[in-house]
Amino acid sequence: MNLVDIEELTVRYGRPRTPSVLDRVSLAVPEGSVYVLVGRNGAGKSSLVRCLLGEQRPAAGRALLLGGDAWRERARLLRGVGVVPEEPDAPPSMTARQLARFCSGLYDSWDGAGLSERLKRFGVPEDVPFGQLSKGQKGHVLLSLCLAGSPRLLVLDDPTLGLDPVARRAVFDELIVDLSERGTTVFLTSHDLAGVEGIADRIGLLQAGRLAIDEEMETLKQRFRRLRISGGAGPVPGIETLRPVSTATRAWGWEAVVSAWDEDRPPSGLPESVEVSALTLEEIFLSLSTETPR
Amino acid sequence: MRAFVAVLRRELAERWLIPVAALLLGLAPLAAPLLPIAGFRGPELRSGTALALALIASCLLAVVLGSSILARDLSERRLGFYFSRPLPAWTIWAGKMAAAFVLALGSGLLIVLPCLLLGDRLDPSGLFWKVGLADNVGLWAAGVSLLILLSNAAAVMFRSRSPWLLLDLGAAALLSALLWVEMDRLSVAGAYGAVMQIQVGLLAVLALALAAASAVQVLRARTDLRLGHRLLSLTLWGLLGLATIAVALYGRWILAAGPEDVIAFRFVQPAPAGTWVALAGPVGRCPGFEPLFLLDTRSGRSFRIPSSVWDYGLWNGPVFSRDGRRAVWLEPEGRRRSPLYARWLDLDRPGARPSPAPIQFDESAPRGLALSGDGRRLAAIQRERILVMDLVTGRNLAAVPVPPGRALWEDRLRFLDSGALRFYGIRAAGEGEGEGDLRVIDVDPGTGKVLRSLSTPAPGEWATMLSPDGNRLLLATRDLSFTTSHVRVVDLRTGASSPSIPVQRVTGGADFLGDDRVLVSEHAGGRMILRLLDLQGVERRRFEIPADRLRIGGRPAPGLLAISILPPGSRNDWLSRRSLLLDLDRGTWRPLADGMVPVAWSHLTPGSLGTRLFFQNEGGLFEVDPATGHRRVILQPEEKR
Repeated sequence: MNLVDIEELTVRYGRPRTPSVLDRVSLAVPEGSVYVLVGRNGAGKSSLVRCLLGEQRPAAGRALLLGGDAWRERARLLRGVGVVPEEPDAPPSMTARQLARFCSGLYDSWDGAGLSERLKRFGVPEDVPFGQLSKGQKGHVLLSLCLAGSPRLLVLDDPTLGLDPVARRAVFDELIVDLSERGTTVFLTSHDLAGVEGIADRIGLLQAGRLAIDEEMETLKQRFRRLRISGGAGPVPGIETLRPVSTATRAWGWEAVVSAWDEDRPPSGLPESVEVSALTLEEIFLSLSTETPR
Repeated sequence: MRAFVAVLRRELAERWLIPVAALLLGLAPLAAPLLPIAGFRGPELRSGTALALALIASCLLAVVLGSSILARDLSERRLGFYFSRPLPAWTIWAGKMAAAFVLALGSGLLIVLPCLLLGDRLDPSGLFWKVGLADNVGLWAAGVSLLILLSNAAAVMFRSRSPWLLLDLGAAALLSALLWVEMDRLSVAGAYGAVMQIQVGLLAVLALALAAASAVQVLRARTDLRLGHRLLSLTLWGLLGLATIAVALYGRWILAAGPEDVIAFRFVQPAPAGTWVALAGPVGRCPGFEPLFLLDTRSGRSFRIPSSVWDYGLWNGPVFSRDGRRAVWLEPEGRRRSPLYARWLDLDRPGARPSPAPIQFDESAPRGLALSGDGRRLAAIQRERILVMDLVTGRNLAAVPVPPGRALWEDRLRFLDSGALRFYGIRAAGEGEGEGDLRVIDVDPGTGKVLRSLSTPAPGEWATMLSPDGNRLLLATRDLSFTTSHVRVVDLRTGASSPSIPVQRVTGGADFLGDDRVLVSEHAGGRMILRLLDLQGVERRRFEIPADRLRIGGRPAPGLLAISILPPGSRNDWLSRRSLLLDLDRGTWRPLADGMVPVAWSHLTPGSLGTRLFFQNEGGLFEVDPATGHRRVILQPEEKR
């Protein structure tokens, strides 16, 4: 069962003829999986999350959350969803304890002890007003709150934005613990590609409002390779079959990132000096974001 | 409901300092009696101070909370905290608004609490309100709600920084102007009740529209402030636009009232001749609206005169020419009380419409309006001058100073059959009341020359009725208890007076018959005595009629007089009235119509239409045949048809 189903989602602000922020985007997040949506600033990630959480009505298409229409049934559906927003939005005067008390009455089950334990682990004081916490602590409080409701689905909108490396690590570690213990489904947008690389099952790349990539993490990583030919003057004949996304002539030779590499059937005709290496998710994202026009 | 309570509690908890501060502020009035303020007792001063502080605090909190509780969360992107949780959108809106309401009103009540505990009454001799606090909590709550909603809408509009703000300002200005025009139109017509209804209704509609717009904003735009502003504006101005249209339609419906809508007559005046009457009274469609109409009792044609009968503190009905062919009245232009413009209507010309006369009266309203027999000259008293003007050209024909002294009773003007204009009034030469003299001036209206001037003592007397030819005046004594002790007749040409005619009890009326006879009615304990006297005061006939009240009417046929009576022991209402027809020559009477009162006084030409008109005060105007008692319905309220 898919806990998230985005169907032909189109979002635009202002008049009907203004350009779409999201243009007929479709994606699905099966139960138990971790879906990471990446994209540059302004690609439409937050708009998609707002539609998914029923905060914004799409111009066309629909966003299904736990099988229900997110716009129409938002309040009911959110009982099974934990949310961490991009900007910490809790009332500044409330302490973590007061926030926990408020939220505990809204969900069917509430793990208060687990929440305290998590906050202790994060090193967040429970009786300090939210507004006086550091950005990292605020993120930890919101993550702890959303995990305390034992949600079926976590929707995290760039939860590590602006956090230092230690705080980022702590967020992802916590997620990994929760995933391993409860198998929670996660829909995550992030700029922290290194951080999500270890947990993502599936990856989506939004580019200018369109979903450029939507596939299994492993598949994605296997089909992207960097080819380097020292002393060569490229391009290599037949490289088009590997669908290069970027090519560059360097002082030491020639380089390309290809998106159709097949490990089992490497193409014939490559020079002996070719050096083939795997890419990190960040490198794939960068190569796609600076894709050489073909 | 659980979600609503959760939001409400959270919003209240976040602002827990406000009620604490209110409680502390409530202690301040306890020190008020120590202040050196003269004229108030300690408890009055204490409760007055508490009430004032409570009102000020409530209003301030309503504005501050209204403008921040929702709009600031939206602009600072913190409303998502609620929207990312399983809370229905309506609970978010309602919880926040309810919290603002509870805090604003509750803080006011907390401020007055210490005084209430001390047993103070919070109606300190009308210092603020003439009624108690408990009776006004509803009004207070409504005011607080309106302030919260207004502040919220304004805050959303300003915080969104959207060009829609210009539309908001434009729409507010446009609708205000339209509403002002509509209400002004009703005010000028004297439909103050409708204006009051509209104002109260508009406040209620404004509150509902603001609440609906704010709710739509949160329910449909959720965390999107700019979209929210758009939806709020569309909903708000849409609803208020509909309300404005409704006001305009309602106003037009009110002003479209005709004589047939009059449910009770305050005033009915037949023209001296012809078939027209002027009438005024409340119409059922609007409380307090008493339009004034000219009605042709034959054709049913009518015109509404756009001013009230009793406007400017003066009688402001139309005046008719002696031949009944022209009516003239004064009306303002718009809301301004001055200048007043004269308008006339030719009553005998089919299809005629009211025409403006080139005559206007600035600043002070004229008195004693009179129209010449041919309807061509208009006379009035303004700024202690008798003015005569040509109605068609507006030319000022004469301006004569009124006699010196202070008017004890209303000065009057009358065009005589000779064409001369007669002024008469009782004026005090000195300062003391009761030292009045009857002053008469006859003026040639063409030249402004004073033809005759006389003065005769009239101590403690007032002018009641003028004879039909304008040559004799019936004077009656009246003391501070409004008791008449005698009446007498003065010849205005010579100043000669008839002997005083003693009157034993309070009269029910006195009048000329137009044939040198005088009618005087007296109250005699369960009976009314109607005496028919000659000009020397010699009693020629006497009618003793069992009645508590009597009103002298017209003479529907020569020798016959219509009167109305209130039978002894009857309820003093119009339905109990009974009209009788007196045979003045034979001294007998017979019933004419029950529940009806004659419209005219006795000096109309016997047999003229006006003498045969009777009205029921609950609405209904009839022409009654004196011979057969047959009624012709001229006006009748719909429910009685």
